[in-house]
Amino acid sequence: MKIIRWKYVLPRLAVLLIVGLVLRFGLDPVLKWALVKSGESAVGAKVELASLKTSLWDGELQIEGLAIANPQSPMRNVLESSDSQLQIDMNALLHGRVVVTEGRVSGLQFDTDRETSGALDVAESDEATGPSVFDPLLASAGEMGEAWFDQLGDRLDTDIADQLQSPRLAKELQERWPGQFTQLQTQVQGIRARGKELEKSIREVKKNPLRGIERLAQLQLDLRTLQQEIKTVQGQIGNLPKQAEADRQAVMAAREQDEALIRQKLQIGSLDGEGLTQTLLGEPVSQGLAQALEWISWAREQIPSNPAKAKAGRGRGTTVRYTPPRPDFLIKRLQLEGAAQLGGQPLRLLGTLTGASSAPQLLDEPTRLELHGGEARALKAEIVLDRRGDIAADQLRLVCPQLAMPGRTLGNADKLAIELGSGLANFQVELTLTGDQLAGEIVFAQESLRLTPRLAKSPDGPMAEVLSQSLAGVQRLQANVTLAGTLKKPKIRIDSDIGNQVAAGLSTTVKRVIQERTDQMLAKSRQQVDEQLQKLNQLRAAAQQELLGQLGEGQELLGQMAALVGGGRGKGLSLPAGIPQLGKSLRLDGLRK
Amino acid sequence: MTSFILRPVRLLAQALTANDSPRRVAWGFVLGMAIGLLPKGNLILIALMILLCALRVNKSAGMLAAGVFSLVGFLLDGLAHHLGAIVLLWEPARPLHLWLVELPLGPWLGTNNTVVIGQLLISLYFAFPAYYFALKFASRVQPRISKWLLRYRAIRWLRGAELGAWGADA
Repeated sequence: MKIIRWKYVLPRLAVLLIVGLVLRFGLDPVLKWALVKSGESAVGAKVELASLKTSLWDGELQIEGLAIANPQSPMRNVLESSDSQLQIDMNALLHGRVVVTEGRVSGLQFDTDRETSGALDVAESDEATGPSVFDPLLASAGEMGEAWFDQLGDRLDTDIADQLQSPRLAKELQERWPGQFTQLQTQVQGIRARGKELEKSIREVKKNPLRGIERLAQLQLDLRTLQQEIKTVQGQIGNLPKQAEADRQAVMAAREQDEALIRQKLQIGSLDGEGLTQTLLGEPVSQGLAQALEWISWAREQIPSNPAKAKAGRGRGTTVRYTPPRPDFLIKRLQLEGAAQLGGQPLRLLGTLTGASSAPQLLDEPTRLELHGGEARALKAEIVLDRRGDIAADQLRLVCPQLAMPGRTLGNADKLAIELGSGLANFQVELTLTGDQLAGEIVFAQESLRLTPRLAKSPDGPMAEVLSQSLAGVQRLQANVTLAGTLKKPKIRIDSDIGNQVAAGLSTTVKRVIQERTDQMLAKSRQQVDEQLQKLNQLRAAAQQELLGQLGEGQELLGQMAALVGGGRGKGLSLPAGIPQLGKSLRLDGLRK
Repeated sequence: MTSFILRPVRLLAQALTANDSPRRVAWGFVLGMAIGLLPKGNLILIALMILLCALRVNKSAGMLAAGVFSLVGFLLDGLAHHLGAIVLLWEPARPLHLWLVELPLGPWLGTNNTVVIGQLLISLYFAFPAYYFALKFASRVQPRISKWLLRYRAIRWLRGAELGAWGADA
């Protein structure tokens, strides 16, 4: 042992021992600090660790109270776990690689609340929080459906009774008749008065014919004038039936116009099921998708996709590699156990993460995350992140055949919305991301639906009634959302039978309601017009009787005057032969028609 | 700066005027030669340096040899690379190399580098001749040179700069 220089060796061994002790007792805080700092740098938000314990001898790492804040929502955590135990491959660690051969993360929770802000003290991102990329697409599609409902609501709510012509015309005729009757009555009374005066004059002339001979010519002239006036009145009264018939025809024509108007006003175009689907499902689907794609985009940014950097060779010579290059960080297998909220219901979540590494292109298998529900409700989710090729290819599959859906509202609450009752739904997602290209399909089907319409304008109006009747027949909601485009500019197409079901129900019900409403309005209009015409006819009949009586008196008076002037047939004053027949020729019977 | 310039001279003086036995000087020289030839930044080199420091060999001779053979080593890199490539690509030895690489801290051993292996082989190949000539030199020439050099104050001053520790170790 004399060949060993102990004075050199012993102090260095002491130094090594001190370094070992420092590592033993100082490694945990240093590693905790390093993990927090590197995590914060990668995530862009606070990373908190309650405690960290290492056992280098056993290669164990225990982390308690891990919380990673959401960089986009600082008062929420992206995930947190109560306890994590990782088995580290110490041989790999001595090769400069961190390899977790086996691990278990318990108490895993996603999107939880924080008590303090998780934002780092860095400049805020000026990323625009503008509208969703889906907004223009869905707005144009949904406008059709909304316009239809607006139109329907307006048509059903508008009272078009004031715009009808026939009741107004009938009313005008009814109001015009008293004036006409009064005019005729005045004329008849005038004739009677003048007839009496003429009779008086004739009687005076008859008492003293010689003295009155000079007036006889005048009397004859007056008689002829009166005769002429009687003819005129006769003509006017004779025209009354014609006028009544013309008025009736006018009322009938107005009624036809009214019917056309009513049908036109209540006519509604056919409802586009596609547009209605966009109206109902567009907003919730786009909101959910925009959020999901945002998360996917963020998650993809965190995944290393660049080819593994070749380690810089030594300055001299060539380094021969006997093993393929391996990633510096690798999680071979990690058991996950936690809780999540699914459809508002707590769900125990179990899963496995395999092949997560800092250089995934160096691995034979892609990174795979498999999750499944702990309860009877079968939930299976599989996320495959394949970075082995030149182009990143990611897949997301989610199957949840019995997803408990809470009650929710579809559509625009300011215009038309439909409340969906709670129930079980079959939910499936198949998403593929190749490079930036997005392709996928989301299938959603909910049975035993209960739909309740919500109308902001008139919640209890006829429109709401129509919708209630229509939606009563809709029992099932199935929606297929097809995704295309890129992650930045995704394109979606929503295919669902909900729009067609609602549209079919609505069209049938709306047609029936409109028909009923049309018939009702027409019947009301007819009844009103008929009543007015009947009343007018009654008035005319009454007028006919009255005028007939008055003219009958006049006819009698004229007969007396003819007798007075003539003194008998062929003597004295001769009267026009037609006067006695005046009453008959008035054809007053025609007024009764 | 002065210390940096004088260091090789001092090492030479210390090596030539040391009280060590010729064997220690020869071993120190051999270790120093290997250290000088090997590329830096691997655990083999660190192990050799620890040996040079921890073993009772002439450290000055080793350091001197390391300095000299560091320059020579660059000239031999081509040969070392060819030698190392032959050895490392020799299929029967592949499991051994794989085992070495898979050892804890294996990647830092440098055993998969052609120049490291080549220079190591050259060092091993020349280890005995170097030991032999260094031993002859130390046993025959060094005492006379040492005696002659110690007549000079400058040499005594150079030698004495680290005399305490150096002499005690010797």
